[in-house]
Amino acid sequence: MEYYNSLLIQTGFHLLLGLSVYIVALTGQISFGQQGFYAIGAYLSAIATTIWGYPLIPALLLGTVVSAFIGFLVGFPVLRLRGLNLAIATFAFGEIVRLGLINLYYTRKVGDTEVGPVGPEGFRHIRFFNDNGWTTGDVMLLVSAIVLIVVVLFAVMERSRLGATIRAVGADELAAAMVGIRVIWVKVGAFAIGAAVAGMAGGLYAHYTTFLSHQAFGLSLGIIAVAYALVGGLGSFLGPITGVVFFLLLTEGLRFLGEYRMIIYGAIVVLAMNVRPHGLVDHSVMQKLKHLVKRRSLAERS
Amino acid sequence: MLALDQVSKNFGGIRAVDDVSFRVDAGEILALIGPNGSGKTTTLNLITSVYPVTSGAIFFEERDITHLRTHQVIRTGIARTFQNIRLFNHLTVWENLWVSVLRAPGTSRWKRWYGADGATNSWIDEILGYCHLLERRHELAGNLSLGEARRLELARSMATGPKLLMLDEPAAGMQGSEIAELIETIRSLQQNGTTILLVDHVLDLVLNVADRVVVLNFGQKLAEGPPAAIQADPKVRTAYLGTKGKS
Repeated sequence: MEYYNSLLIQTGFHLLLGLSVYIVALTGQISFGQQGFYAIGAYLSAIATTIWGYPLIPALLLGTVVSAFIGFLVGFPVLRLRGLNLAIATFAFGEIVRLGLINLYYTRKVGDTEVGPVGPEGFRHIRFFNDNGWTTGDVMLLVSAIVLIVVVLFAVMERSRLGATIRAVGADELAAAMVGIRVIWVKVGAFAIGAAVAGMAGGLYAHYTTFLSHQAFGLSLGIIAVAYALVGGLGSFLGPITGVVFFLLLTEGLRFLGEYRMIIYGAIVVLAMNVRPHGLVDHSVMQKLKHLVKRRSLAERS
Repeated sequence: MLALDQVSKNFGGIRAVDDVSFRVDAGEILALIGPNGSGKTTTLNLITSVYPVTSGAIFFEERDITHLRTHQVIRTGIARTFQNIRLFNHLTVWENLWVSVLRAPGTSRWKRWYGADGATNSWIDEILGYCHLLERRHELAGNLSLGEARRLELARSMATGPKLLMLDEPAAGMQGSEIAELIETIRSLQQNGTTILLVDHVLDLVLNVADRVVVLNFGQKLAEGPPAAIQADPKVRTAYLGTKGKS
């Protein structure tokens, strides 16, 4: 049971990371820096509970809001870039955050232990769940609830005109400007929403692991988050969710292969991208799904 | 309504638009014609701030719009189509219009953002019906035929509710009957009070619908006048009609 709870919790973090890349990708940008927002959310909310004595939810919200705000500020200069330049700029942002954390010293004595981030040694004793008697099952429920809320918000957003506008900008920026859409605001707005989601995920992660190190926020995390969105597809929020499930099944399902696992894993990812270059859940799949749902609801009505 | 005052545009050493001035009066159909590479599309791009002008000024309804950003120009009441069609391919036909509605008559701001409220709905359906796209409304724009895609470009620019509509080679790739239909559409748009700036070199179309014609050649204004006078103008004939022989 403990194993499944931890698996669900970690899947939850990755779902949020995938969604965070996904909303940015909808505007036609690929960000390799979402792990930076994940790190900001993690450190900030952990500092808030351990040093400042915040309750959990306000601490998580603080991490979320500050991440979004930083995303907003970083977005204006960075999102003027395109393609490879944008990829490098977002990656650089992630690394700046990580290097900043290596140099972050901010400790205080709480009780008889010294808590807070100690530069490269990391940030120990994030013990909110432990001190307040949360079991892994409770944490699993909290993470699930937050993932559910985010997914519902994404679903609502996608059906709204805002969702259609974000997709329009992703399809053709010049054409979008030519129907009066404020392209830069839509891009920066989507980036800030993505940053908020990653920041929230980081806060949850910090309290779940109880120990933060800059090593957890390297480029590999940013790359896997991008893979969730791109392998999963950009047809709907179901895309990155499918992506996370796909990678989860690969990782867990191929364990019996032992050392050969990573070879097969890589081969399957390459194969998937060849067979479905626009991801598993792309626009044509969504279009078919919508037709199916419509036909069924029509059949029920008659 | 729209006035260009000595507008020039340099790309490196090339003068793509050279000291061009003309105006579009409210309610008329003005055709901007000229051989390939004469600066027609560049002129539209300057009006809509795709590029900044090198020198000169552009006014719309007495307001200086030279240095506005593209989306701001559109919000003053100008819309355009693209010669090489640029639709939102992953959106449905209906959604292509939905994101383009700036001021559907009688809608609240909030409703417009979330829901498909009655006024916006009927406004979109009306335009789709007008452009014969109503039965294709749930199709992805990327799946449309060329003719349908051109009609959707037009429908989308109409959805912004423009006072001035600029059409960039709307007849490109069209057959005779389709051109006749296009002429009908342009005329009825004019009757509904929309001013039209038509860029094309299909002379059938231009000489049929335009009230006035401006001719560009090598980025400069060569002639301006009613279609009959333009057709008779020897300068135009040598620069354009004579050499191209298209009619």
